[in-house]
Amino acid sequence: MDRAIQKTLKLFTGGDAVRLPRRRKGRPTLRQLIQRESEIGGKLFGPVPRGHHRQFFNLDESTWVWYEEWQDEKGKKQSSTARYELHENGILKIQDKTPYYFLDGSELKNFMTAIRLYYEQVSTEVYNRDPATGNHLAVS
Amino acid sequence: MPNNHHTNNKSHVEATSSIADNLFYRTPEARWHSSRATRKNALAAKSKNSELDEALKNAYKQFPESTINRNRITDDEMRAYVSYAVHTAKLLQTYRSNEAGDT
Repeated sequence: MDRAIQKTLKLFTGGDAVRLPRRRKGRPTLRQLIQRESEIGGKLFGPVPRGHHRQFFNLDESTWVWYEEWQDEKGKKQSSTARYELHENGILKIQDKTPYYFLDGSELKNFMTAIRLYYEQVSTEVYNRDPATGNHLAVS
Repeated sequence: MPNNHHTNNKSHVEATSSIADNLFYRTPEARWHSSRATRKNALAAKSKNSELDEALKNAYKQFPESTINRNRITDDEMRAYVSYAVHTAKLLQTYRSNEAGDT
C-alpha cells in the first residue's frame, strides 16, 4: 500500500494494521465479476418480459439474489428483490412485502435446478473452468 | 451417488421454462413467520479458501437429483440440498477470489 495512504489512515484510525483491498492491475473487480454472473443468471429462466431487467446471482456463501425491475403502465419504475438464504434446515425465501417461508415442492426443485445451471454456465463463461473438476479449460 | 446430470440432461429451455413463474412470481403461502430463530442458524462462516479441495469437487457430483422430484422430502434430503447449494456457492467464491483484482 502506498505509504502516504497508510500514514493518513493511521492518523485517522490510530491503528497499526490498516489494510486496503489488494488490487491487481488488469483484473476485474469482485463487483464486475458478480455483474457478469448476474447477467448470465438473469437469462437462465427463459425470455425476460419486454421492458424487464432481471438479475439472478450468488451473493455470498449463504445468499442468492433475484432482482427484477420494470416500468409499470404509467411508466413508473418498479422493482422487486427476492433473497434466498441457505440455512441448515432449509432454504429461506425472503421477498418484498411477503412473509418469509422455506422453499419446498416444485419451488425448491426449481431453485436447485437454477443454481446448478448458474454454476455450470458461470464456471464456463466467466471463469473458464470445467464445472465438474474446477480445472481451467484449455484455450482453443 | 452417480453423477448422472449429463445423461439426464434435459434441455435448459425445457428445464427452466416455468422456473421464473414458479420461483419468482408465485404468490407465497405463509408457512413460517419467525425470522429470528432461523437467522440464528444462518450459515455465517466466510470461507477464506484459496484453492479448491476435494470435498467441494465431490459435492458438485452429488447433486441430489434422485430425490428432488418428490414434494415431500426428509430432513436428510433437505440437508443434502442445502449442502449442495452451500458448496456450489463456495466454489463460486473461490473462483471469484482467484479472478478478482481487489480481493
